[in-house]
Amino acid sequence: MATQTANRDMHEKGTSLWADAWVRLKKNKLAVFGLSVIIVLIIITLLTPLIAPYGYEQQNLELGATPPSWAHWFGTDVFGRDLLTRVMYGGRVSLAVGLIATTVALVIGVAWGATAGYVGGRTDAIMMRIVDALYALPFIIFIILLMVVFGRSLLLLFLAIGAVEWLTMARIVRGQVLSIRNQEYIEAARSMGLSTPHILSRHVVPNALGPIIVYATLTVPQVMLLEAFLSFLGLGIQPPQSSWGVLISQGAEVMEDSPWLLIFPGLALSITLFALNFLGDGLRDALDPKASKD
Amino acid sequence: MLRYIGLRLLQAIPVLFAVITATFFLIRQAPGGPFDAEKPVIPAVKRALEAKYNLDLPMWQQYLHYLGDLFKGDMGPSFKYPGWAVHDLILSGLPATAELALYALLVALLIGVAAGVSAALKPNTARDYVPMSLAMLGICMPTFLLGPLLVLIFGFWLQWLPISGWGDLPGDKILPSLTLGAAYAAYVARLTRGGMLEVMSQDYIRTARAKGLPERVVIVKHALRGGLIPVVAFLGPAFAGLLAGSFVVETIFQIPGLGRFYVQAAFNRDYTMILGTTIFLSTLIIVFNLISDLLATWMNPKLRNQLSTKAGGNT
Amino acid sequence: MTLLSVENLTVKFHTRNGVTTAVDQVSFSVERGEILGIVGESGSGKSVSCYSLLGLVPMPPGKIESGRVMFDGKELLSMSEDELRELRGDDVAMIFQDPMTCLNPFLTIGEQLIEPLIYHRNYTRQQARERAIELMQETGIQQAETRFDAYPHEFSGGMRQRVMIAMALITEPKLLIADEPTTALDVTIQAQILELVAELQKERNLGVIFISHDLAVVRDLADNVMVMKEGKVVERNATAQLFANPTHPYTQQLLNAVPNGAKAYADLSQDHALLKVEALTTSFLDRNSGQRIKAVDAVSFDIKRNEILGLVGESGSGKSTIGRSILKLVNADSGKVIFDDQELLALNRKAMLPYRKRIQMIFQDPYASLNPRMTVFDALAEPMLYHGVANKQTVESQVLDLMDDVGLARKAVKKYPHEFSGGQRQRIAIGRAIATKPELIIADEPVSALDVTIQKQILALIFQLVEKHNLSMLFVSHDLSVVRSLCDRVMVIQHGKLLELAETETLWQSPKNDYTRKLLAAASGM
Repeated sequence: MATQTANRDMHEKGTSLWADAWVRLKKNKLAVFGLSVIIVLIIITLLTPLIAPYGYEQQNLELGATPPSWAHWFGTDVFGRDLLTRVMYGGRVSLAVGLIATTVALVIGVAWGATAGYVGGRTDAIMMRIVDALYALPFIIFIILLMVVFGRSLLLLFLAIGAVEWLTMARIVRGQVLSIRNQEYIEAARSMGLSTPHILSRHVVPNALGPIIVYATLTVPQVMLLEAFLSFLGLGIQPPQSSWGVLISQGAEVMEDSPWLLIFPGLALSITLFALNFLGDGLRDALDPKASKD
Repeated sequence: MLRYIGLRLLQAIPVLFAVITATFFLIRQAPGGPFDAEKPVIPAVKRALEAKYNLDLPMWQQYLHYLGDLFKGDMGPSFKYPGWAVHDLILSGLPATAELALYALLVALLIGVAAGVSAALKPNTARDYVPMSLAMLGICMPTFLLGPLLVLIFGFWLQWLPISGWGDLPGDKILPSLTLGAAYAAYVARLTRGGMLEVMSQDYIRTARAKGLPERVVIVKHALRGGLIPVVAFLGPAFAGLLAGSFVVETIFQIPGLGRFYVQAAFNRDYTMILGTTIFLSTLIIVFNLISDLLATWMNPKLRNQLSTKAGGNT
Repeated sequence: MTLLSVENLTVKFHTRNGVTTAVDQVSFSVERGEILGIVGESGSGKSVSCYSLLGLVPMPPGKIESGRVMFDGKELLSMSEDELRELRGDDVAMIFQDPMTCLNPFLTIGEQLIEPLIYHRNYTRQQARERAIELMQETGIQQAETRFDAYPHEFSGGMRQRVMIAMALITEPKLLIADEPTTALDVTIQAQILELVAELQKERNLGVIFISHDLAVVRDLADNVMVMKEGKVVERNATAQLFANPTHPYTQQLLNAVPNGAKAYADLSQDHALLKVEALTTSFLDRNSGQRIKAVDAVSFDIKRNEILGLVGESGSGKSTIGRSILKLVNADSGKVIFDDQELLALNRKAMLPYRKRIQMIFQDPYASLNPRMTVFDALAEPMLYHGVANKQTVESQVLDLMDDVGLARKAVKKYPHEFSGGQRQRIAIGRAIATKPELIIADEPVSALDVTIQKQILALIFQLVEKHNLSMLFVSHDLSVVRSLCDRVMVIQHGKLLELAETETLWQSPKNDYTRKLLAAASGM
């Protein structure tokens, strides 16, 4: 056994495509910036109840709306509530919606797309027809309708948004699986007699993962946008809960007198979207198999 | 070709039908009806009103009634605005929305294509980074944030442009069109850049250069056609997005358009108005998707031929 | 006067990863009416040395460091981009390797044909159209009038290359640069295109630079040949001399790239065949017509123990489908595949498993046939462990032995496929195929994606392994010279039908079938 370990140490260490991609990603300054922002954001979000400077509902009616100051870095709203605190709590909701709805989209989309792509034939044709038909539906109108009809529950929001975003995911996954299925290394695996589950887990999934990760990263900002959009129209998150979209909507109403109430939540949303998009773009460049060939 | 279009339109009918049915039954699941207004209505009056609008009939009968009327082109009366028919309301809101969407689309295409092509011709230089960073900004600066910010800057602080209305004051169409078009200009720019980069690396561009064609001809005649196909295919989804964006923009700038009507109808539980608007907007979106699809297909000779052989049937 | 003279041309590429010298002090010249062949493997600088003259190498990253280039009395390197552009497609024309990708799919053939006349000669569209149709006829495109308005995808590969040639010659250039113009084509089409080029060249007294990776192709065509390697010219000579008397070792290596049969020939008189294929038929559904098309049509043959059977055909002949049908990678419609007295086609997955261990496959493209996310170790260990050839204790030493077997360094065993060159990757793929100690290997064009000198090494390896492990092999190829050197018997297939099956030398000396004769003529004519 000892000789074997010694043997192994003698081997040159190979760089897997993942390691390669990581090296490329680290060279991309914007992507690294994006990743760092997101990590910081997630930490803040998790710790919000501990580190928020004021209580979420803590009012100070005498104070009213004041511009940013040492006591209130982002200023206060008309009820004298600390905006920084509210932005932190709003971020929890915005990020949660983004992550959970993306997960919903991911689960449905991957299952649907992978099945269609790997089974192929008539099953594939029917499954993708359904996706095409759903694509033709004006979903944004439907979501508004759903929110109106069933009230503005968070759960419904996750489901509704996830239900829209899974379509593209299904298409991407199917395309990936289809092209991988036709690769010679899959034929080689089949000619060796490997079982289907073995081929899927060892050969198909690891190779389809890259684009799925990229798309999932890019779906999060889209979902957050959608949530903020609905909240802005008054159809998303309901008070007393708050999200960045709600804060922007409230800020827009009083922006002539208190522009900071619009600007800070807006900045928070924009920077987050920026970070996620940069990370997504960076991941796409890093995981691009064309780039790794030479 | 005509047959293909006909076929596609035929396929759109079940989709539309599903939209109508789903919307009809969904909206009736909503808690609270149109006459549960702020002021309590006398039960007898409420019953009379409900009878007038067939709301006392079993659900499936209401549904059939509605379908029958719809077939005759009648979307019924608005519940909230007595004396107004839904299609009149829609028609009154349509011009502003259509104009807004058109200007926004022009903004998106003109700025987007120019920026994208310019970036693709000099990749990884300042001419690429600057417009593409702006595009990223456009994508990360959603309509409902950009709108208020533009109002704040150009309306309140600089006082250059009016902040609300549509066609009432000179220049009041500029901010809404820019607001709505900006995000799509960004998407178009990114798509154009990607498409052009892909095409410019093709062998046939090298052939065109080897023929000694002026660079302008190489780009416009040989590259742009293929490079713009993704953009054209994006126009359908973009249009749906523009309509959704118009809800926000019309709310921000107080434009009396369809989008604002729709949002208000949704709040007021104006059943017939929601149904009518949903059907109308869905039809628009489906038609636009079809047009953008056809256009993208037609732009590719290989697919164009498949179209005509399929449409031509057993020739 | 010399048409083109290049002196001490040096081209470098400045990239983030450093500076590479693509062309290093290269000199050559071409007279009117001369055909100069430039031969080299991929990355030898043969294309760059021509493209850079005409401003077709993107700069940056490319940069011409030094040199003097005279064309028709004018100095090229000091020309402005506009002056060069005037020259391109007018006095100097080019044709490229892949006619599938070199024509713009969005424009009609006619539109692309007339462009040089319109932009260089100020023809009206009508004049240009007439001239283009004349030239289409001259280059052998039938029904030129109607085909003028067709799109590239409506032409076959050979026809597209004719269009490219017509397009290049439409301005009556003085110099034609042909960059691997026949490499992407089937052998019989290759012969036609080469003939056409030779004919047009003679008529017009053209100077031609013919770039190729294949010495055989330039042999009958070129007056002089220049061999390049790693950016440098290693040898230049008149064609006949160069072939008769190659002085540089690399040229000799290129000339001998095809190994001679060192294998002890199999005993073909044995009456018990390892594999017997009877009336194998496989069809596919054609989506356009909705009909089933027979890719393999009632093909019967057998492979004896220790025999290498060659299977030759052009693209689309169904030769790959035969191999895939035997391994049930595609479903055969009818027929029998009998391996060691057991019929395989009727077996279910489980019953087939032991036979999958005994029959293995090598694929054409070593870039596609290896899972990019598995190390060499995993790729080689997977079949061993799956089929119980090795267990967890022995797998490491067995994999390392296998590395020795296929000529790969043991220490590279933890690397990933993308860290290897094409030839090394094919060694890995071969290692995977022999990992289960099979008796029969189906090799589907195992060397056609590789450079010639690498081809030779891989063929030698296959040879050696067949000997060492007593393998039998179905060797699928489009390349007759490779087949000749390797195979005991050869079968020729066209449109899914078996035309001829004979012992290799018999087939070469006295082919019975017309198509076989055509293939042989095309191969030796090059």
